[in-house]
Amino acid sequence: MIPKKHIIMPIAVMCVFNVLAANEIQDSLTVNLDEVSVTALKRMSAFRDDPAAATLITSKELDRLGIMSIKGISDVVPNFFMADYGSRITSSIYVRGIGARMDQPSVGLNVDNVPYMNKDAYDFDLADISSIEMLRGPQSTLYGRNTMAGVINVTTLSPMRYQGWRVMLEGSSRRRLKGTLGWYHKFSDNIGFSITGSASAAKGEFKNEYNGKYLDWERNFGLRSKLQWRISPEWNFQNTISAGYLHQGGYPYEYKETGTISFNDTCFYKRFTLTDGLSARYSGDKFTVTSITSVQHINDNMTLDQDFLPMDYFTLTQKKNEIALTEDIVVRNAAGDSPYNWLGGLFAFYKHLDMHAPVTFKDTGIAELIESHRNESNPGYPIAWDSRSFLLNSDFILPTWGISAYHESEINLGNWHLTGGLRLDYEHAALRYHSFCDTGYSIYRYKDGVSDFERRVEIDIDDRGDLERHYLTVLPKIAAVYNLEDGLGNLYAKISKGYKAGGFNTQMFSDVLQQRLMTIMGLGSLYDVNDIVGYKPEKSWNYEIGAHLNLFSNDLTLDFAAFYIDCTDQQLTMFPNGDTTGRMMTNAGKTRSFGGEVSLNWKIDESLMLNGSYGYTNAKFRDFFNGVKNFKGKTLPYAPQNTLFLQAVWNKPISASGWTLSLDANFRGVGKIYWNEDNTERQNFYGLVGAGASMSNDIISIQVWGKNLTDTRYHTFYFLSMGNAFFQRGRGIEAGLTMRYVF
Amino acid sequence: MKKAIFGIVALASVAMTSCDTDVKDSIGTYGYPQLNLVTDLQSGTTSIRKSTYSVYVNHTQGIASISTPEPFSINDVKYNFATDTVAIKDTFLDTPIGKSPVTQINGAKGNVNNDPSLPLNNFKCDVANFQVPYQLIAIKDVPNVSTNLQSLMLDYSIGDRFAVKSIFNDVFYTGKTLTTYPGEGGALQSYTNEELFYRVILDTEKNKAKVVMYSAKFAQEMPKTLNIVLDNLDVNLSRGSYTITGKDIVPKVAEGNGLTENENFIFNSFTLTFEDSHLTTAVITYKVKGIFSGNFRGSCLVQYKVSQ
Repeated sequence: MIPKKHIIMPIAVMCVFNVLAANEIQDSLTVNLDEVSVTALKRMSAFRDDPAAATLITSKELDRLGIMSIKGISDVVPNFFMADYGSRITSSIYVRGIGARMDQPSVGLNVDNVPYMNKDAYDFDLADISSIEMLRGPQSTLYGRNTMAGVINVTTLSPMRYQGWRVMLEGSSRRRLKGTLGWYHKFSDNIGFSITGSASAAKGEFKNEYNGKYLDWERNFGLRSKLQWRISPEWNFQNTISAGYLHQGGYPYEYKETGTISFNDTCFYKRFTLTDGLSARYSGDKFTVTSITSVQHINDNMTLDQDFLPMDYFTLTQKKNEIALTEDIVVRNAAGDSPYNWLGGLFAFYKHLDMHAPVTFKDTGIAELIESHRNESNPGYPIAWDSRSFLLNSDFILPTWGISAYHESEINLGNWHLTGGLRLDYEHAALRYHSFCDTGYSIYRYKDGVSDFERRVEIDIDDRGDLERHYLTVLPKIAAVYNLEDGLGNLYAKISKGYKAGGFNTQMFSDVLQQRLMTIMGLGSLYDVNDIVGYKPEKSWNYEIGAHLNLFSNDLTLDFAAFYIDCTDQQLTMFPNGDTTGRMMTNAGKTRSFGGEVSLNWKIDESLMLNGSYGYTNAKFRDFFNGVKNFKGKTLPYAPQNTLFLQAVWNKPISASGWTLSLDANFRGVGKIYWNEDNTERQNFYGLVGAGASMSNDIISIQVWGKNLTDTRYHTFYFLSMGNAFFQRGRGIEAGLTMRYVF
Repeated sequence: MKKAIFGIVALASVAMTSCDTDVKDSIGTYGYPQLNLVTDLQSGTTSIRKSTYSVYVNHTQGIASISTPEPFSINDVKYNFATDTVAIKDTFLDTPIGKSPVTQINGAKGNVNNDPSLPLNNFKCDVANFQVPYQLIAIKDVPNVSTNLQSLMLDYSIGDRFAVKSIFNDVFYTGKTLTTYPGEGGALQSYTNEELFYRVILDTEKNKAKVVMYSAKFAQEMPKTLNIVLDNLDVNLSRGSYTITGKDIVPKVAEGNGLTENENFIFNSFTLTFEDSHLTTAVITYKVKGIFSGNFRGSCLVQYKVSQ
């Protein structure tokens, strides 16, 4: 039987990836007494003793693959896909067929204990990541809302573990430069402090044919400090502050008809984030209490040429200012010999979002979407708009708060570990909207080739409203683990409920306003705002079996998982028919998803290691009628059916020089991905070949690397706007040089 | 429960209700502005006039009576009456869209103008809830409506002099509209629209009708719906019923705070008739632009479940 160890004690555990060096594992996984870790707090067992499909990527592997954000682990983690498109506001994550492209995320993200409350801030670069852990399957019982598909826990390097300076410089053929600088210091055995900065710039890869400029340029800056203070054997504090500033172009969408990227209005994304997370732990004889408090601020501006064409249809600006507060209090019994262990907690949050989202209708949009429809309908009385551009304004205030209580118990009965958990989750979401528009047009009487002025129509819209929703959810979980003899590993089975909060899709307000405008003009009918912009929570029942195996004296670790997910009211982003641009969030009826994952890490000898992971998902609609068509039996869009990662790493110390030569080759494959509910558009399976070579010693590492070495052409995204289809291309071949220096 | 109809719509009635708290019984008085279709049984001619009826209900005892708080005119002669009380009965009427609950006040007796030579005969009254679709846009020259409508469907004769059917004016009909039109290559295509509803407003002074079509769409390819007003349609009266017809009507489309003529959707023909004696099931046919042939069958009554 694998001895039970509680996470707050120093542990060394097996991990899926990269067992080349024990100190590497130690670096990434060991949670010292000096640290407070939410991942450790909410885990009843050691990493691979948990009844969960989990992947841990260590710092060495992250460096090897050049990963500085969670987007980088896409395809590396089986059945985890985070497409690279648009800008850094678009963090669409799909796991096992469950995902979201807007509003509520399906996967939770914690960085140094701070739960990120807005997925618009998920895509950012972090220097000196110690590990990224991805737990697949619902984690709703312990982590609550919006962890229906899993949770990602990112831990950055602790100043208690490393002291000194760390520098990284990187340049690539795709005209990107990156640099990080970190200072880590221990003032005493009990106090450590670090401050890390990062900066990157990219000139862009995709060109706008309209003006010859590169679209996807980027300037990105980050600063993070970490203070860890062990006041006494009982009291432990940790505070992490991070700030980030991003300014980028983005949205290099290719028009399917022409195969070109060409649009005439500005697209950019600007974002400032500030986050503080304070963790405090009291360790008593019988129990520990941990409090994790966070404050998060995000202020961003997304401005788009909404038609993505070299024509003046409309532009959109979405400015957002959000403050979020979270508090998580976790109580658990102290480590001991008791076969019964428990943890319980209370979680509360408040989010306040202010948003200003004007849409500017321009000349072509007025002419083709408004005037032409109206004049085609009544050519005897044509109209002419007052001016060739006008604003549809929308302001929103969205206060959301929630409170939940959770508990998990574990009983150890010989080789069996039985776990049961329950969470009661209440959430209140409100939307206060103000939509307004002040414009007008003139009607003419056209007869015998002559137009006479008939009358003017004033359009003065000033709509205000308040909507609110309440959600109360119970989230249970039961699991059983059977430990194999002789440390061979374990088998597990789990049933759990997943939950993604409902809410309001503010992007549809531009369409609501357009409808309002058309109705004033005598065309169309009114939308029920509550029906159009509100969407219900998504719920799922998840059934999973799996195994974590340690073979050949732990030289080979093998993880399997098979799952079945039954989802009701799945939240889907749809593009409404006709001349609309807003994306509508709808609850899709019923879907089901089944599949499996396998991961292996094989240390063939002292020099050679093989890593691999494969995920398969078969996710289909069981019932979805969108008012026009039923998509029953169709594959869920945007979620890949297969993910594949293969890697070979070879390390060779060079005599007594202290240098090590390291070579790695990797393959990342994903697909087939359907882009629409109809399954008429798709991206077939594609693979990206990467390789790298590095020379390193204890102080310096110089790495040359290449990505997508076969320059594979593929698409990462597809959407419709006003009935026009657009793709985003994947990034092409890239080579680079990375230098790391510690002292 | 006998309170069902009246209890639900009491607040929507135009006139007053009362509740005497000193008496155990629960009572109410409800007013209904109506239209009378009056057929002179001697000449055979039918005319239409405004009228108001008042219904007194004792909910506790399940009885009701009907009176005319304001006399109604026939050939410049005023008539009024007050019936005795009769038992009320809750039942259902079949409509094209389901069953609609009604409360019947049948068999009441009385003398018109207190004249024994003018007895009320064959008195039948159904109190029903009429549909009012929500989110109506405001249209010029089209009145606003209350959010809940209740009306009487009255049938009686005054001695052997007159046959009277009393109906509600300004009624919404919902149901299915099937439009057929020639598609590509001349093959006939069809389009079913359940969102289009029809509002019929009779003008008793001019003997004309206004029909408003909300969310009119005649083909799948038609990009947007229209709110159409057909004005000055001919009303043809007959005993206990009427039909509405029109030819080559240029519709007006609600636009801004006015109406704009739209010759592009000229109604070559328009006909409205009724399938039932209550005049609640309407059949509407029309031809638009010489291309679209529309057929509608629907009801003006609400269909819902009444708690027992």
